[in-house]
Amino acid sequence: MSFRSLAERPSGRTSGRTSFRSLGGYVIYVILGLYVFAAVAGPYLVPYDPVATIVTERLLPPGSATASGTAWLGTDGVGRDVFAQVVHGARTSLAIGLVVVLVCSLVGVALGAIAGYAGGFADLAVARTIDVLMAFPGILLAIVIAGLLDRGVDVVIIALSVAGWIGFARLSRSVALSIRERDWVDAARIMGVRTPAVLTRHVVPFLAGPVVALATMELASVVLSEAALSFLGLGLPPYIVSWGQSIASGKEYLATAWWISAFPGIALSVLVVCIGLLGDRLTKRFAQR
Amino acid sequence: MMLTFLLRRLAIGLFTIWGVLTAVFLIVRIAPGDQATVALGPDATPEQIAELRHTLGLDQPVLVQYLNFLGDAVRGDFGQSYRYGRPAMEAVLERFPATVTLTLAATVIAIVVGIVLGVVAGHRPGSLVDRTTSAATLGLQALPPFWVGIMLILVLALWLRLLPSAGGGDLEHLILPAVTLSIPFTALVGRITRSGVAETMSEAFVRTARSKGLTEREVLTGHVLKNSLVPVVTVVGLQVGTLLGGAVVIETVFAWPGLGNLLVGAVGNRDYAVVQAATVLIAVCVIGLNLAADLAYARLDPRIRLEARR
Repeated sequence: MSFRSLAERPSGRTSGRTSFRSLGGYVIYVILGLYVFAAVAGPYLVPYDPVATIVTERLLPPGSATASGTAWLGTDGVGRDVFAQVVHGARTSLAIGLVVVLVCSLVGVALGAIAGYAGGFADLAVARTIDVLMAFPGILLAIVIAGLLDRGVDVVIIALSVAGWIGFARLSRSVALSIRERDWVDAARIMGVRTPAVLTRHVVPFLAGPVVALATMELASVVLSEAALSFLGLGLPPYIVSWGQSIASGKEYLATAWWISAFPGIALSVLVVCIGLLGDRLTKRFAQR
Repeated sequence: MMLTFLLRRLAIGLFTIWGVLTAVFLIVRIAPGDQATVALGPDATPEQIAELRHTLGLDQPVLVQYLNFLGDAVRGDFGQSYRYGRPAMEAVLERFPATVTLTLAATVIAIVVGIVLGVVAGHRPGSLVDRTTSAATLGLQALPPFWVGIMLILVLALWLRLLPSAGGGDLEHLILPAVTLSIPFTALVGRITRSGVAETMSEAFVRTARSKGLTEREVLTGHVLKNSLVPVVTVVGLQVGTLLGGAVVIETVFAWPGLGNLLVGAVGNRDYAVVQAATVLIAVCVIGLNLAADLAYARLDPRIRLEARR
């Protein structure tokens, strides 16, 4: 696998390794495709009951035979299959990630485009709100919100969305600021097109590329944050399989059963790195315009 | 001109702190179960709850509560921690130095290792070393730090028995959490240094320096590095706040006795006073650090000051 395409190159140098670059790209798509397959079809192929406990089969090393087949990645502290946790966790991570990114991009693009296009008070209000939210670093805000409210999928989505729209708003604002000066926007305005229509027809379409690139990057960070929340025990309720919870549950058995924490973590890391690489490619592509 | 810029930035900073206080007040009001119910536990009688609500001022109108909260917060008073039975800010400040130590250690590691990686990679853009380093930093930047921490415990503490796995206080205990916390930041500093160095390498003055007979080491340290470090300074200033946020999770992994560990515990126990005090303290630090980074940058680059005046 080649990461050649992703290393920053000084301007003016061109790469002659196009075949290598596209090969690296295919690998990313294949891996991401596997994750999507695991998320969509996996739970039907690999049955798993997050609340069932089989005490006789606890802490089995990878490859052990169990009553229901072979535990390829071992079993955890209460005898649940780690491979099944990895597969079911993919669905949780991707589903939560996609919903949060969707919410954030809609809210962010709307607020950013309005702020950039309208200027004045709207711009000021959005800018100051962003200042306040940015004062809470990393997932601090999500920890406090998810931790103090009752545990649930909806609360996790809200907690991760509260600060997630900022990037989209900043991006949309700056694009809208430059686009509102263009001739076709003036022309539309002069012809009496109303502001909402100007925004949706003449400003927002130019956001599509950069927003998709940003959404990919954001997806990686949301998947990570969800895992971190669940790891801290402040995220999803225990009856939903999550890599973060699996990693946390393996921490106490680290000395005797390393596989409980290791495999869900590898699944999480590979996913996040691949999404990041994809985002990097998309960002490069849309930045060149 | 510098003074106007400073005052403007300071005003925005103060406004942001007000916003932070308001947000923290709102989150606690929205949370199910108020301070009195949580503090007294499930066995409390309605009379006891009503009495404590009265003592805490929770029976007053929300607006009055809000103003009282703001007034107390300005004086650093976030109320009593029901778990520790003492002022919340006191408990928070006691844990603060450990978090500062951890964050500073991670920053130092990130700057030193990141710059070395960046120079090694950027020195010969496109070489095998460059590609390997760039791919590695890109991957490291994306890895989940809390899981990397657990794997470091597994390999270095449990398998190789080189370092203690958890706890705090001395240098031995500091190494693992500091390294874990620094990894994404190291990768970031490495990538920024690399692109700065790679760009500078093609400048005419580098060719001049080489042709006048300087060794490659002298060229790098004397000419290249100096010119590619300005973006690194800015990023370090702006990202120290993010590190503080990362520390919250990492402290829990390593049981490091800092602010983050306290905060996560307080969130789980609904110790509202501690949650508010810790959150506000972290946010104020971030605002202060960003302000300092802004000012440093404005001093280095006059264009920023002019931009701000418009």
